[in-house]
Amino acid sequence: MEISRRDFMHIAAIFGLGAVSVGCSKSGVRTPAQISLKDIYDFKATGNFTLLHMCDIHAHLKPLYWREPSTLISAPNLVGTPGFLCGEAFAKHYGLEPSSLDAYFDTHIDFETLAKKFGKMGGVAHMKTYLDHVRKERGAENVLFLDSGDTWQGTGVALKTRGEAIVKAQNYLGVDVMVGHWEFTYGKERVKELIEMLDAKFISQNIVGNDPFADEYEELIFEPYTIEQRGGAKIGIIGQSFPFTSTANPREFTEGWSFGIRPETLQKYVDELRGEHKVDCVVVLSHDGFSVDQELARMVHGIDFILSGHTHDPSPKPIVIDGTVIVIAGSHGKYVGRLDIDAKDGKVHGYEYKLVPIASNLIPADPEGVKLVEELYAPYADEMNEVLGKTKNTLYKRDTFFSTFDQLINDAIMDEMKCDISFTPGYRWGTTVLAGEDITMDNVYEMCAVTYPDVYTFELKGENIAKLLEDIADNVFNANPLYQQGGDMSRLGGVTYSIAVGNKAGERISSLKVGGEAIVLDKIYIVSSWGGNLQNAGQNLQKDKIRPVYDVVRDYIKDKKVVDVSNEGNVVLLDYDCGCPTKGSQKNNL
Amino acid sequence: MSSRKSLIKIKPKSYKDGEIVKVSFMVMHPMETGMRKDKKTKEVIPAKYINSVKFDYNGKVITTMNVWESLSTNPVFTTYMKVNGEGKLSVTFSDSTGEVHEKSIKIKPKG
Amino acid sequence: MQRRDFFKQLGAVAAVAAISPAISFADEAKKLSGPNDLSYKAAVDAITGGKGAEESSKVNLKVPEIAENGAVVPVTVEVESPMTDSDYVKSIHILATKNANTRCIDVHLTPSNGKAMFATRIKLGGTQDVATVVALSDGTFLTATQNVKVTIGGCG
Repeated sequence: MEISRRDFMHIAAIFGLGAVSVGCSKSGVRTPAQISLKDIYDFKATGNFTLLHMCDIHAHLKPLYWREPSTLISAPNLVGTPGFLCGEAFAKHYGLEPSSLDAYFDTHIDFETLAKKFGKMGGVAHMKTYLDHVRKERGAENVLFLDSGDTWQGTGVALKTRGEAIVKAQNYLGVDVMVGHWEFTYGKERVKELIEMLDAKFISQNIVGNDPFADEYEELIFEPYTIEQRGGAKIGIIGQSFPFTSTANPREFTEGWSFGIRPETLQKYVDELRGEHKVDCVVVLSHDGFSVDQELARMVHGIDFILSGHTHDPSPKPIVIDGTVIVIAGSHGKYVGRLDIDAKDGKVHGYEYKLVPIASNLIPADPEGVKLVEELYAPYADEMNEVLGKTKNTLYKRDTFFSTFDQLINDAIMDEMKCDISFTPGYRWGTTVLAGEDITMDNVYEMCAVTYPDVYTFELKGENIAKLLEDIADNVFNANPLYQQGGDMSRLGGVTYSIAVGNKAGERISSLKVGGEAIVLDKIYIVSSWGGNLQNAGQNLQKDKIRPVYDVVRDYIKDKKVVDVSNEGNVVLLDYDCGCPTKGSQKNNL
Repeated sequence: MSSRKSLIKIKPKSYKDGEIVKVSFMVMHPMETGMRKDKKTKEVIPAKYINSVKFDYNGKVITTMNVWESLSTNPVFTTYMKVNGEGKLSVTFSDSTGEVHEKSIKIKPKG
Repeated sequence: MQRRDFFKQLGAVAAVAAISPAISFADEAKKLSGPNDLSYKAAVDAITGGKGAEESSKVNLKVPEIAENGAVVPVTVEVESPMTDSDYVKSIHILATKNANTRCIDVHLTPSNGKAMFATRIKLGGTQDVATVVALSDGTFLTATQNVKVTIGGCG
């Protein structure tokens, strides 16, 4: 059988040939039409056990369209590194065939055309079929299914059931261990209730009590690790929840808990697992983000594998840093990572990895899963299925500065709130609605389903708006991944600006204009924002205007009937080509 | 002597004579800088912050501290000490308004 | 008295409770200053008697890269020292280099501490370096610094 280029990459990774192999093999060329279930399942089984991995499914129980970013800008030192690759740069780095299933899943290139060819992605019923295939092939007793978190939040059904629908889906899928981030936005008490319902173990070495008067002060809130036996191997799994939960999301949800990266204690647990428990393999199940985990691998020694999450990167090939193998499995249920490991006598002897696309037109749905999803949606079906209007152009979420769906949200907010500026958060989760298709209420929730949905309208001085933008830009573009919070740049309605991402903090933004006029530093502007805590920085909050963002967006789309958002950004990039810069690339305009 | 809520915690909870243990003192105190305005009245909130702390163990001074207004509200002071027989550990502080507070616990090594 | 904002920069918040936002611009226009204002350099000079302090790997300063809350930033200082009568750490000083009064705390230790360690939580008025100066019983001074980012956050 021919080997596909992607499979070649996996084999090459094992022999350390990764970089050399890119674009070298012509033998694996396969036309899209030829792709079959067999190709998706194809895997050279290795070793004594398998780790299956998902991350950031953001409560997507049903298949969806999800377009990867067409612009992914980073600090200059990180340009061209995995985690900051997209589009052509991504395709080139990983040797993807144009118009292939992999190209459709991993890049934005020809997205609309390929979406018609390959259909929707993910969905728990399709995912389950693949998981069961592997469990059958390997023997269920030799397989662990690990979840890097951002699982309970991101859709209407998740919000309405306060996470419960998703826990049921996790139990159905057979998740063994998980960590969290957006999970915590249901609040501490609800998190504990959901963990009670969850069959999987919830672990985290980086969450400790920080209320000096509580019993749990400086004590772990969750078990830091678990030891599982699979295929005769002892596997130590350490949990790493999102280190910046209390700054990225409202602090009141996790009051009394402190997060952070905590590399010192991580090292301690690695040593404990190896020294005291004599494990054969040390795995970190992480929601740190792909670039932070690459840094972590440099700081902490003795980790065999990091199963990463948070930054939503599809990474067809593992990254190896100081002997630690790092993988990440995209987002929204589009992929399952399969990692076969050969570990015994306290050592990993080999591994094989594949990022498996959950192509819902190729992998049949498990009937039980279809039934479960129907049941979970039934109480909300009328609301979710309501068609609000149509979109002329494709609505998507990801990109560093701008996206069409975020622009639609900003348009809706500006229309209702009569504000000068609208801030929509640069979350990395959401959905994609193809050009010409209906927008349903379910789609609106896919973009806005947060437990703190209110749109706030308040006053902010010009100079503070400028400072805020600089502050947000530094969270995204800091040269040191440990000072980045993950997430894309906030999306601004009513504003245009230029940015030099390589400049130092506080000096990146220029030509800042509001409503086409240069910003006046001591002028008061009316600002609307949601999904963050900007309102705390403002004055004279207009309380009568507060309303959940999903209602604002719903009413706007219903009113417009057909929305027409152009894909023209509002940001000029001064120090790179726009799109997906490659190493050494230089200036052009957006 | 003020009646603020305060705590002394020793880690580990059970310790032997001669052992070096972690000692934390935490107190409910506003640590007002005197440079902050009340959001509603726009009046400056007067300064009130702890300015000195002392750890005494059986009458012997283990640690003293000069403190300024940059310490957080409800401050925590953590250090180590060598257990040296049964006795009393006292933490005393005074603040910028002259308030004085003392908290003590018994030190009882096992074996 | 002329007053300058204690928390210049991004204008944070001397918070009463931990739920206060990391950033507030409320008092920014009125620049307040306090009676204890002292620059970083002046503070280091005062501690070391003008000798200055040397960076050392014996001093382990632990602060978060990104503060979870600018009003409650945990700081831990550990120093390699036998803590004997003849060789011990006399004092640990914690400094917030851009607060108006950079001094946070001076901790005077004795050999009875057994270990040279001190931990507390400080308020930071914006992104800045946090520093520690350590005085040894032989009259030398060591130092370590690390940048802490104070941010309004808000992505995910």
